[in-house]
Amino acid sequence: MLDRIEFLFEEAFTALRRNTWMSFAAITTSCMALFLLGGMGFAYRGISQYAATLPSRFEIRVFLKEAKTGIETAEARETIAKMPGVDKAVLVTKAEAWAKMQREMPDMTKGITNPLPDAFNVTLKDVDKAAVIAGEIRKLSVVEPDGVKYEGETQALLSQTLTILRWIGTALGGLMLLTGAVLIYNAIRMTIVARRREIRIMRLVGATRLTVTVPLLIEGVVQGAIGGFLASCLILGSHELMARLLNDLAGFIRLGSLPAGMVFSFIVAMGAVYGFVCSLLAVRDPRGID
Amino acid sequence: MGNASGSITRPMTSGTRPYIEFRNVSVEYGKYVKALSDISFQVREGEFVFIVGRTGSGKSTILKLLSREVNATAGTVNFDGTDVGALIEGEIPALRRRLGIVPQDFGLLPRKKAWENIGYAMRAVGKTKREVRKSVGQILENVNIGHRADAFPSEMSGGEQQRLAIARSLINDPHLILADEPTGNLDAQHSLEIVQLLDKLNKEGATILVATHDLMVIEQFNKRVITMDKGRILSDVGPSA
Repeated sequence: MLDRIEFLFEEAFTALRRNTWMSFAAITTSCMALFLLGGMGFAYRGISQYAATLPSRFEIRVFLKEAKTGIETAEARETIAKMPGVDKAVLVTKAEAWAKMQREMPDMTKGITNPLPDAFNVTLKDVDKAAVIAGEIRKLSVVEPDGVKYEGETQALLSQTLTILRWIGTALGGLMLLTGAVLIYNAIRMTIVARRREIRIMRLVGATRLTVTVPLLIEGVVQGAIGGFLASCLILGSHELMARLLNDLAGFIRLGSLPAGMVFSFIVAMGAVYGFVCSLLAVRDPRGID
Repeated sequence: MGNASGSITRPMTSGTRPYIEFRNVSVEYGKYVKALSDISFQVREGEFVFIVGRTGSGKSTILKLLSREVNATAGTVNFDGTDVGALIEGEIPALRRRLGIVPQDFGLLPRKKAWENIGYAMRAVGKTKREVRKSVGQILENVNIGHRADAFPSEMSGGEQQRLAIARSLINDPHLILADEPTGNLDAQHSLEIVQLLDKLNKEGATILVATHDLMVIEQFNKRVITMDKGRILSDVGPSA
């Protein structure tokens, strides 16, 4: 059995060696396709995760001045809660906010005294009234001059970015996938032409169709998997580069880490399946085999 | 025994099943090319048969029908009790493992040495490396080119290349050998040697069908000769007593 497997792999790797340039073209194109699709996928996931950490479009954050009494705070909360379009206003004390921040960003908060103010999380019933409500809240005496933060626009921007990413990823990645598929298909067909003598001899002496086609399938899988491996390296490399760039430009923005194991196993497996499907299409064409 | 198409077939010994039987076989390539027209003949086990005729007479098609490289448009081809035309795609490899096929152009792999050409074919039909090591020498010796095991085909004479092609056809220990123009590319001396080799295999028990247009070789061997012309059997003459 091992002997048989060895023969099939020998055949596949002989074909890869003989078809070097075609294999190179197929591998690099599938690498770019998988990089675009996989990279966009991971970027999409990262932005989605970031978006989830932002207040929703139904939320306004209100930061309060330091010098205020508990009664003033309670009155302000009541006033906001009664505004038309407001569902509720919840007080988040500076201690609570700081504790949460320490949990989420232990490195950044280490050795610093709590700089955060008390705040209200205001939940809206009507997003259309957000601008009016924000204006009204700004007028309250306990609120910091720039203390009203409504992230609705950021959310809308992120949502647009995600949509654009999805379209670009699908269009470009799809195009590259198609090109890669044609190249892998052609590489396998060229192998069939280049190895027509061997294939003919195999058929004449009574080799099964499986013996003839399995090396061709292995060739496609190897091309796809190598493309996937290179794409994984590109994804991880560009992620690392982006993380450093963001850290240098704006230290407070942190890109979530990308688990290398998951990226490699997912993208390489995707590449292998892709290569298998392309080569399967190529060997289904009986020309040169039967 | 005559038939509807006027072709002649030799009578079989009564009571024995023919090893090979073509019954009213026609083959058409496309709409206008008729390779065979309603031919019938039988071959007994252990026979040596020359199929002669000019290029395009249909002799190679007869061999290809037996190896199922071609399927009959009409009629039936039987080999050792098997209706070859009725075989499904997946059964053809098993059929070919019962045959030894010597193609017209040798079909050797130029980048492989003589022994590797044999070894490769053996590995393709599932033989292990150990089996290859054990058998290759014997197979090459059998066709008298054991001393050329490490030569590439380009370093071998035409006769040696043909012997190598015959050696490869023996890897499955076949009972039927189909040789298509085995002397086509050889001089008179080598042609004679190749047919002598096939004759030796025949004496060892193999049934041999040789398609050829080399009348000089045929004259030197007292064998059955089926003469083809334009897809029909002109004559079927047995060896003289």
